Amino acid sequence: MARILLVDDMPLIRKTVGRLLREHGHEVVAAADGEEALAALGDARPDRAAFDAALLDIWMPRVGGLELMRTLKERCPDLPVIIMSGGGPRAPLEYSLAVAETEGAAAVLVKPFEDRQLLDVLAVALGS
Amino acid sequence: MLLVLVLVATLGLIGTGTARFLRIDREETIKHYERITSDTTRLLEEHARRTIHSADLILLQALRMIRERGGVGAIGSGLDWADFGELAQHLPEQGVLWIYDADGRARLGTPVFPTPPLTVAERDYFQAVKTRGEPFHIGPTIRGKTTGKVFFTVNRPILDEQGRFLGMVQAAIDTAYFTKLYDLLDGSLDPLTGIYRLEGGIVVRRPGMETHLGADVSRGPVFQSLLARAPTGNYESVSPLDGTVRIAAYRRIADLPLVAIAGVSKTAALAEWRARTVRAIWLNLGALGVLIVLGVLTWSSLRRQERSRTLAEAALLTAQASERRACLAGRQAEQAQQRLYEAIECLPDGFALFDAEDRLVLCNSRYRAFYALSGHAIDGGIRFEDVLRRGAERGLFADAIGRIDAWVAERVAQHRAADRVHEQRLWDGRWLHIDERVTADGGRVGVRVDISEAKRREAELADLVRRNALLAAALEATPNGIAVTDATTDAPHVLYVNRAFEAMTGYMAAEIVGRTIRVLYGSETDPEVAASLHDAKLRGETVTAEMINYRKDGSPFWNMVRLAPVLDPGGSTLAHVAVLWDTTEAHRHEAEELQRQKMEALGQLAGGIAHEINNLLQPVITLSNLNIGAPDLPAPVREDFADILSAGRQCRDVVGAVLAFARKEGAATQPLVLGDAVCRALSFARGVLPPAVVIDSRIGDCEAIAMISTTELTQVLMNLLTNAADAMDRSGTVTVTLDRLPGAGGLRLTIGDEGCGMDERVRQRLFEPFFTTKPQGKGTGLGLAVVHGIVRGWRGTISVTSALGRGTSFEITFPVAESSTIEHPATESPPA
Repeated sequence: MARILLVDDMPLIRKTVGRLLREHGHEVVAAADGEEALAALGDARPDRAAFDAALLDIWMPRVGGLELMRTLKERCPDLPVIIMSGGGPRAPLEYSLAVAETEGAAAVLVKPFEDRQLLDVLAVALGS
Repeated sequence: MLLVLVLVATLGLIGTGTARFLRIDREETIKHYERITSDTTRLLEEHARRTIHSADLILLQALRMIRERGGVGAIGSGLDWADFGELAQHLPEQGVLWIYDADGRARLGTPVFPTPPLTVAERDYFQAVKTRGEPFHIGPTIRGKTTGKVFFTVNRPILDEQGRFLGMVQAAIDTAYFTKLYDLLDGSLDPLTGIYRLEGGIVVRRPGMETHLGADVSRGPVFQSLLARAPTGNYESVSPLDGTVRIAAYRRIADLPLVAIAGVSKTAALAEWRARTVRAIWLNLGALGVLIVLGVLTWSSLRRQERSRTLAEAALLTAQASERRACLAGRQAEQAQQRLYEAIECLPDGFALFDAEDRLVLCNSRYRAFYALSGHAIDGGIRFEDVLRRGAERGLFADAIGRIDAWVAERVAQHRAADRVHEQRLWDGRWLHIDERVTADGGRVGVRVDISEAKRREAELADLVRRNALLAAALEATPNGIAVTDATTDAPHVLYVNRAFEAMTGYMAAEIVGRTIRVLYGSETDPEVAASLHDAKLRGETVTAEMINYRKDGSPFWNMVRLAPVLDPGGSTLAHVAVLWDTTEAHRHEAEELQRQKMEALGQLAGGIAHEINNLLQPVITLSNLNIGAPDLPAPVREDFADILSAGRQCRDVVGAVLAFARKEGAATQPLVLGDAVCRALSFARGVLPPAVVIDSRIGDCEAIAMISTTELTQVLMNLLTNAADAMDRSGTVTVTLDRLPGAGGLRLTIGDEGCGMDERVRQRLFEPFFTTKPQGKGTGLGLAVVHGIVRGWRGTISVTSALGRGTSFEITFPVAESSTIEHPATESPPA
């Protein structure tokens, strides 16, 4: 079982995706944006990670998913980050996802995704 | 007795014969002088007409100069004096010009400067022009106030544009010009020669010009009765001036109010005849003496006597005849020479004769006029070389300026050789054509013709030809098509087309010249635009219009044409010039640019909407999945969740297709399984079409691969399906069929509706940018143009068949791709 950081500005996503992960035995910490997520991270350090994986939306107010991923990677380089996006108003979906992969995301998911897709990439990311 | 009888009879015979001879001789002498006087009047007429005509030409030139200088009031400066003086040089016998204002005050006179305070208001010639309104008046002979010379005047009024009298110009010509000529005529007889005005005033008369100044001969028979009867004639009368009885002739001068009169004193004319009569009587008496001697010596032989008498008579007649012939021949030779002089004077060309020592023998006044700057130095006896040198020193010859000696030497050599004609340029730009020949006695005869006008035309023509060549080259080099059509006939035809026109239309100049320009029109040419061009032509306006024209091979092109009339100086249209631009490419670019902008806006909009919908779909899908997986869920609820999940997934596909449609990058083609791509595009389209439109898809070949882009395919199908829905009034079935083409192996996609169909006119314009049958604001007119462009990009074809009321069918063909590496279409849309 893993401890997963879920960041999305949409409450319904946090609720449903969080429930899906929990039903599959994971512990979920949900945050509405980057600031909340960093707060949840607490005093985590590279050698003592607070989470086993992070699931981040791209388009969020204040601190977006890609920026958040960079911060997480600085503090915990080994933390697997999965990026999800339903597309955005300013850049094509493919572009955002390509950037995410280049910058070290373990996987990218296009919303809406099937349960199976999430569980599969998560399993790969956790190395089990 | 017999002898006495014979003598008396003989004497009687001789006397009668002699008397008869003398009477005939008298009549013939009078007739001879009638002929001479008659000939003289003809010569006088010719001379007077020429003189007065040339004076009148100078008056007309003076009138022009006065007008150019701003009217009579502006005339009077020293510069005017010089200019008019130069003009007056062309008058015969150093004639002078006078310009008077409306009150008869002299403004300018060429003989003196400054102009003296002279008025001619009371003079008859001024009254004739001013009060009697004569447009051209020849005045009687008068003595000049300033020059003291005897002259006659030729006068013309100066009128403004409304015909008001502003003044008068006058040429005064010294009568010496005439009397000098008259002096040349038979001097021994002292003939009367003269020009008179019709009412009897003397213009010129010789002899007694000075004595009879201002005299009036209206009492003479010519003016009393003869002129009224016939324009020419002979008469005998007593002169009212000098009382001399004259054998005379008169002649009305054509076109001028003048009459020429020539006469010889009857006494003088008959003097020779009298002398002959006396001689005849002496001869007769001599003959009588001879006869008496002969009679005494040979009275025994009557026959011999008679023969002698016959011989004597014959000898007498021969002697008399030869004497008269000699007399006549002398007169005729003189007369012939005079006529020759006159003929030379009358020549329109300059004439000069130099003797073997190169001294001037004679020249006419035209020759003097050409070398006017050399002035009156050209007199008989002057050497040719001196004439040249004086002219050159005064700057008369343009080619001699700065090299007088060399030029004179060349010119003299040329003159000596006299073997070819040449041309000479004068200081004022005039050109003379000079033809010199060697005469039999080693002299040189030369003729000079003024060819300035011909030279000027020649230069103009050469200039025109050069400019035409330049213009033609420019026309041929211009990238715009140019066509010139005739506008002077009812059936306007092409006169000229340039190379660009040939390239643009496919018609060679040889094929289209002479035909109507309307050969470019065709079924899609907008009749209204064509009519507006025609109207503009009729109104002579310049107009620009754009229309579809057809090349010779039948292919259409957009033609922007600017039509302008070519006017003659009178303002009527001679021709039309059409400048043509092929704007087909511009139309296409415009369509593509609009489409690009539309797609960009749509892309931004779609991106924003898709983001929201995709996020909202996530709970739908996730929650459905979670509930379906719940073990204790009742079966009907599980089915409901399955339906919700399906709806969520379909919704995701729609959003994916919208994104694909809006995405610019999607235009790159790749090998795709065409059947799959069509199915996916249709699934997207279904959600967009009105619910009452059913798509009946028959995808027969699901394996074949084509080089296309899914975005473009979606765009093509969306356009065709939306059009189909509109054509069916948003209700009906669209049949979409994909199959293999027979034979070659291409693929064929057919989209058929059961809508209203279209007519042939619409069908032909269908793929044209901005052509639309939809109401204003509904269609962009770009849809099918874009479809056409996309299909062409695939190296495919698109065609349409339609029947009014029965429906329309579009057929798109795709070449089958050879590539074996296939990417699944899913890479271009959201993962399933």
